[in-house]
Amino acid sequence: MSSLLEVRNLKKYFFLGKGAGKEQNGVVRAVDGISFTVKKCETLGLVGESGCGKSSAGRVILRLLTATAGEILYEGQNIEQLSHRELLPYRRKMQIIFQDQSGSLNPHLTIGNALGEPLRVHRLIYRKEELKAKVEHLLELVGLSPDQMCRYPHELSGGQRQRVALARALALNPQLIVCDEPVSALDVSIQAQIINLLKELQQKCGLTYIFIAHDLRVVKHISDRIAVMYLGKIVELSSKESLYARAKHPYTQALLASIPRLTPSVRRQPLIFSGEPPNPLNPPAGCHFHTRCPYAFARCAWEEPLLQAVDFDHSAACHLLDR
Amino acid sequence: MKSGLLNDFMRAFQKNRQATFAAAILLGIIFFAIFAPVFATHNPTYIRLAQEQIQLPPTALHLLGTDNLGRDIWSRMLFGARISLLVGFLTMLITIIFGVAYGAVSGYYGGKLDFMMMRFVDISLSLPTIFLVIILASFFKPDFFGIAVIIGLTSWMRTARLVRGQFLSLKEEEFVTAARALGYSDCRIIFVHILPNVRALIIVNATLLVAQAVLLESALSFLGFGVQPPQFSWGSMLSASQQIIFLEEAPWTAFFPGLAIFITVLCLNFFGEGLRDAWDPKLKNIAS
Amino acid sequence: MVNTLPDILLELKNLRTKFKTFDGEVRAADGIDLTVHKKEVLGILGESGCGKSVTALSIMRLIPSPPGEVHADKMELNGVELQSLTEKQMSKVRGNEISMIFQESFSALNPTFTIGEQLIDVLMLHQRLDRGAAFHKAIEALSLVQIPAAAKRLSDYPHQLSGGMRQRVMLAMACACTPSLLLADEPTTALDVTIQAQILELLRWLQSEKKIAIMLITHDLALMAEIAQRVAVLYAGVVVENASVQNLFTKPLHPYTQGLLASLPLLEAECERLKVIPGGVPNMLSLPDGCRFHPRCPHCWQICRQEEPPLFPQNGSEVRCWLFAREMK
Repeated sequence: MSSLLEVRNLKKYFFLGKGAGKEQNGVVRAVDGISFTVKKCETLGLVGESGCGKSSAGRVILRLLTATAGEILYEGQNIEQLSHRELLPYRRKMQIIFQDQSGSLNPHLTIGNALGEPLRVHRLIYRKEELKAKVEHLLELVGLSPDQMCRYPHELSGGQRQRVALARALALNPQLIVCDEPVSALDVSIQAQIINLLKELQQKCGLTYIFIAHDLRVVKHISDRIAVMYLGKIVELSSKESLYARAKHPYTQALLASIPRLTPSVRRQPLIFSGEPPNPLNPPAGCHFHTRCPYAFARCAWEEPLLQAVDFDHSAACHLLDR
Repeated sequence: MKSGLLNDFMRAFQKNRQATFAAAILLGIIFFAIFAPVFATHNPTYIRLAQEQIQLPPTALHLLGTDNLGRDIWSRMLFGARISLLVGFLTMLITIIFGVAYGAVSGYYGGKLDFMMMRFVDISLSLPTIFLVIILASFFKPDFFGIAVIIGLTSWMRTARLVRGQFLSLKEEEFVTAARALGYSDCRIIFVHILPNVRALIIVNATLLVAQAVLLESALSFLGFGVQPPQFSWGSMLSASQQIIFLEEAPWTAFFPGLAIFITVLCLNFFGEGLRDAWDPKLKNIAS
Repeated sequence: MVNTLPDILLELKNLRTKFKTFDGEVRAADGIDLTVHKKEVLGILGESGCGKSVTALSIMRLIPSPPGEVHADKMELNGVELQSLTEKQMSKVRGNEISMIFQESFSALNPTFTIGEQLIDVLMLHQRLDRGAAFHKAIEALSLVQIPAAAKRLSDYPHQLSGGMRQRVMLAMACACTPSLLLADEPTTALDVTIQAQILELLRWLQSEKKIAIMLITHDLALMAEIAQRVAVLYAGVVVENASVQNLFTKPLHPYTQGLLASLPLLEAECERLKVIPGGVPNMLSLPDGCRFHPRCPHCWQICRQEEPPLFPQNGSEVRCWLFAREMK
């Protein structure tokens, strides 16, 4: 399977400063040199806690934020430097759905209009009947009935809105969809429906996903490969099976251990590590994680570890691996 | 606007008795202004110089009396309403069109452009309004359309700021990001996606702008720089009664136009606030 | 239900909380019975609209009275009927005998006061300490919730703290006067999973060392499994299952509970397609006739469409489902 998307040393820094004269009061290195590949029809899970840069990464890939450095190769073509006009055909191929379904739909557009608009703007369909038919088809694809067309977003439930957002993303027949925490704000019983829908659509339409989430349980269910991020860097990149069975990075291990288990009879002692997440304006030197790592030693404080292969399709960035 | 929201809005608005009452009065004033020829009892510009006909108090013949030139005040009030309201409305239109466009561009694009545009707004706001208006009016001697333009030139800044603030925050909303991801042009995003969300704020602001414009026009005309004879508005009616003698001997010449201005502006304010509260109580802190 | 635990702390019988809206009356809590025993953790499980937050706010008597109306047959804390207290008496109870912490710690703390001032306020009000003594107690309270450099932290403002810290501060404020009952409304939902684990430990410690009973409201089943002893499952304003945490997770009785458990993406399990509960939570303005869950239930019978089942006892648990009616068997 060929690679659909490749990201090389991608960086996104936010410079803090006011108005036109931006004196650098500080820099938030939201995305600090990440690299990965996503193959066609695969799902890459991008996992991390708040502030790790996963949402920023998703948006930079879609050129919704301008990258500070690095390359984004879509089917071999570097799209990072393209002008807006040149980017337009790529926009059709890459779409995004968000966490907040009520915010991601324009409250003043009916569902029908919201779904029909991309088709009209990109001049894919002109005639009214054809448009209506296509919108109905999109609604059916995501499990909604066609009579939802004349409703407004506030009349639908959270799960239904997320389906509409998905339908809108599908309108242009994309190849890649970035899912930015699509189920985090939904009820548990609806989460399962949306996850199933995403998987079904992946099969049906041959989609590739970058699935951004903070919940490792959900990510496990839908991803083929997973990248764990911490303070802008990828600390572990692995196939799903290998990550959950043999996580190598202490942060990944801590994440897995912190997840509450559904077995009330076993009171496990979780690996609760000390301290609060560091200030993104002032990350620790060397390995960003060393201040909270139970296994940190001298080298961790001054040298930043690089991703190195641990196993087949499994790499981690940790000095422990050298020992 | 969506049907469910429209019903909610109407219900909420009707609960506010001041606002509904104000709306009714405004409708009445507009009605009389439109049908002025029907309701007027005399020719409003007809001068009667006979001693026994000037400055008559309200009688059965002259409902509100006559002014210092013997003109029937009731008829002048009706026709004067036309100019006062028309200028108010026109000014509002000019202000809104320019202010919204300016604020939208400034807020949406942000950065250096926003910075420069807002500095220009700051500068414009620092110029003393009434002074500027008087100078421009006395220099150009405009008709009522010109007055509307001049007053509009001095009031667009607040609208621009308001709209810019809304655009600054709304452009961060996810449906705007989604629109960009779908490849929509900036123009489409501004007009189709963001502007409808600012609509409510603009309408409320517009109502209050009409009130402001009516007051400003009245002040201008009172000082003699507004509409020139034979056109007249409530403000110019007031100016004719500037002299103390007239006020002492014939207070009704000043009282009725003054009252009309007062009631109109008050009702416009109540109406605007009622609209705002019914639409979105959260706007209370911004829209003024 | 057989009480093996000592001493009932809170007894709630038939809580009905209604809200009058433009579109009709919403019965957010429609006959909820709950009991919390001393020093135990009772979990309230449910999704959006089930009435769990409303229940907590009703107990605290924080439901605003024009749109809302709260009635209960019994709402007793330590034998004292809360509904018969005046507002003044109730405000003495709040923060002192019964406390509440919320999901959004940022909006629950006043942004214009330092956390020290907010803590000292609580202490001075309820424990009648002077400022000096309250200051020391505040430092104590912060150290208790494991906030490092407590004395320095007192002069910080809420926005200067991280989410996890703020949640700890809320806990400190809630437990400063050692209440007998703590209502925790989704306390960890907005936190990262690593911080969540820390807060959980803290809650456990508060229960075991400070002997504070906790009513933990959440939609996260796994969280419930970690910390609760008993669980009440809410659906559309009523309790549908009441069980010990063991029984709930090993032998869930109500089809809703079963559905929820089956639809969870689990770390331990491996499955291709998650089992879903079809449909969604009902619109509280137009609840279905009969059993509220019947439109989504795989075992729906004729009677389920017509009559709402009462709570049936079953092996130490209680379940609101016709499947468990004795006469049917």
